[in-house]
Amino acid sequence: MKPDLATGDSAPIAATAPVAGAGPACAPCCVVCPLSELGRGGCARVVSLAGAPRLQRRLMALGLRPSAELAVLRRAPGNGPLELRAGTVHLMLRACEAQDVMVEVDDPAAVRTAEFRRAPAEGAYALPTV
Amino acid sequence: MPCPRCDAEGAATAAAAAGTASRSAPAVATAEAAATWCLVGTPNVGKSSLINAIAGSQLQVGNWSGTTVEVATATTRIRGTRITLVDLPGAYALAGTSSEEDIVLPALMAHPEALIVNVVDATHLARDLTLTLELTELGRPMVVALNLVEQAVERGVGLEPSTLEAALGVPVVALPDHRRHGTGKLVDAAERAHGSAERAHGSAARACATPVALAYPDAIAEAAARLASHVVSRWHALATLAAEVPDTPAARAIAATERATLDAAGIDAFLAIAEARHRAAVDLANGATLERARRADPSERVDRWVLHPVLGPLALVAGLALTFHLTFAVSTPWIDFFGLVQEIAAGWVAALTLPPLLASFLSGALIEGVGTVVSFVPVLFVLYVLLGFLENAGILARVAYLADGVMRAIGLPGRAVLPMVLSIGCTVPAIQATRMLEERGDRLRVALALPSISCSARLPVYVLMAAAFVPAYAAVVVTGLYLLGFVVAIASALLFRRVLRTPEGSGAMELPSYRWPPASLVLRLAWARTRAFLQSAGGPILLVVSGIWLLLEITLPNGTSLFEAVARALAPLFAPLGLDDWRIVGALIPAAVAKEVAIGSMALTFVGSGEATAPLGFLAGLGALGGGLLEAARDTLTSLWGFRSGGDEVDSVLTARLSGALTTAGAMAFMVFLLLYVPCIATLAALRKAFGARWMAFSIVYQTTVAYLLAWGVYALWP
Repeated sequence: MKPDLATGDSAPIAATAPVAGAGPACAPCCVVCPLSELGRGGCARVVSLAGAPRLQRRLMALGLRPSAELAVLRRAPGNGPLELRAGTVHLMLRACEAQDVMVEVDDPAAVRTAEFRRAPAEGAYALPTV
Repeated sequence: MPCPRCDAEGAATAAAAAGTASRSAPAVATAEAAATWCLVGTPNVGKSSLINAIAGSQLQVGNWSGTTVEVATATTRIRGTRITLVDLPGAYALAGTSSEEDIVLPALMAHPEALIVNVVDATHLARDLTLTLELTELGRPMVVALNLVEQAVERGVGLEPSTLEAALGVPVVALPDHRRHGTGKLVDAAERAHGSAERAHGSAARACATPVALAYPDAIAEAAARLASHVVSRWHALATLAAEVPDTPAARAIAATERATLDAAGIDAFLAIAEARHRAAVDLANGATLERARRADPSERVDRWVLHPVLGPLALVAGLALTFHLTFAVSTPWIDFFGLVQEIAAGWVAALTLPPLLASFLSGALIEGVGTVVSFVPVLFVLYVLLGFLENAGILARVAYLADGVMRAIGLPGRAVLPMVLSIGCTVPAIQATRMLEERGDRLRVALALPSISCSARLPVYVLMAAAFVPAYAAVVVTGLYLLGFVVAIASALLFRRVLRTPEGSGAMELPSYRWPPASLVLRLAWARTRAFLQSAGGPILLVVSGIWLLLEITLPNGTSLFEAVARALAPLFAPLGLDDWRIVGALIPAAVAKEVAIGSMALTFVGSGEATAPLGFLAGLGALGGGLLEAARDTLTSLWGFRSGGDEVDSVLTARLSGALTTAGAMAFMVFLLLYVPCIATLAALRKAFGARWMAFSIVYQTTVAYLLAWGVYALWP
């Protein structure tokens, strides 16, 4: 079942322009998926990082911190790395490493795999407390 | 509460005295005023351009003690002060996330008296200021040097260094693009930094003040304050709290308790600290930025073509082919020229009236050895120029992006494609090229796999043997040997990944903006790196060449040479491979210098035509030298268009005698063994320089074992 973004059960947060570092301004029913599932041209916000602590710290330092906005500029052929833009920085990330980055996407069409094109269960992915 | 800033210097000095002192910055104990500047900044920020602008002619490179991480240093005299500049590897954060970043903090702590020069990329201000804020928390004298200001202006971002200076509390200077004029500003700022650090020491209130903008949640600030007396700086207190760096057991125990309290309150110390720094950096960047009409990075337009899914891989293949061609085509005329110099020098020695042993030592060991060492200068210099360009222009990161998918399939990172391609030409520059891989584990795996790939020195041997034994299928056999080399290299890389379990580098890296690096920087860096190789590899190569000369020179009481005796003693070991002739086995000994030497050795033992060096007059030699120089210069220009046709003449007498001494199966086993056994001495010297003697020994044992087993297999299975 695809979520109806316009008339979600819970009241959507008023659509104001996102302020830097002020967290997501999207409906609570938007899609959460691993970054590796995001297709070319997809925009998303980082929800959480997993995986080896060293990689997490590296991703944070490169600008992939929780609530940071990013865009997938392109994907290299043959399950190669992704090219991302986060803020002013362009960076590459292997698809296997992108699996450890959970992102929320406003537009489910940007997600490549059907199984991720639905809203997460309530409380499945908690936003960080900061 | 003790002030972490005031404790910082004493504790850091103690840490340095405890043995973290560095090799790269020699202690200066003269009456002359001396200072050390440590350049810290994110990768690609232009730190090496800055060191080049201030003291480029003095540039030196060396590995940070006990690591494979390269650190560039230069010493210069500015206004009567001897300043040692240390260019630390690029880092996004002080707590490292790669082998390169890992040495930044220890290096800073090993230079407790040093001024931190934080180079900041004005086009990525918010990100780079996060590192700046971390550095201010070390409580050390520090200067912020804003780089790439003009590029930032081009992208619609104007900067106000004075605003930044007021907010950060450390001197901030904007470096002009013609940086020679920026040195004076930097020195002024350094004096201000030391002055304010001294004032800060006098006033406890000021010393303990954090930069205006940086505010941690109260719980974090209090926990850090309780940790402060156990660590050397506020940064260390916060990093210990976030479990980022291993610190003293006492501090770790307190940090664990504090972390548990914070966790109970629902605060993740690491995330909270990182977020506070990020917000402060964004605020600082916004405050110091004048315009907001940002324009896109022009690199994005270029990348649309370069990183295109179809055109990108094509560009990669073309780029790799061009790099390979330039490395070897430009350097070959100069290698030939140095060969000519070697011949001329040997001719001069022959013309002198010297005792025979001395003359033989001079031409057979000294000139031969020095010639071997020098023959690597052209190829390494050209390679380092190309690598320096690719790295500083931002192209290497694109190579990594394009090749990563394919290279990951064989367990290697994308950048490893360049060393792999180079090793078809020569293994030595290929091993030197592994230094562009960030993680030591990746470098080691690639470097250990490279000697299996067939280099150009092995080709003449294949050509000779194939012409002697399988003239009809020579091309097939030679191609097969090249393929075998690649297969063994890839299999080795996969094996080392499973067995050695060396840590793998992350694929997460920045794709920096394209930039045209200053030619002087690229050339000086290339020369410094070539020199560093000669210094470490020259001795071992000379030693081995002299050893082989001695082997040939010493005659045993029964009239045979020591060389023959050793070869005869080794021959039974090679009988299972079908190689029972001592002359064939003996050829493998001097081939350790360079594998093509096997031909010369066999020519000597089979045909006995050891070409005696003809005496040469001094003036005739000079004339030949001048002619050679002209020819090399001309060939360098013509080689830019295409390879010169280097004809491999095959000695017909030698091939006839060889086919009498060996079976075809034995010849195949010999070629396989020659392909894979002990890497040549220069390769071993490169491995030792990069990874230490133990890994060099490992490579000898590994390669020889693989060579023996495969050669035996080929001999047994050959129809």
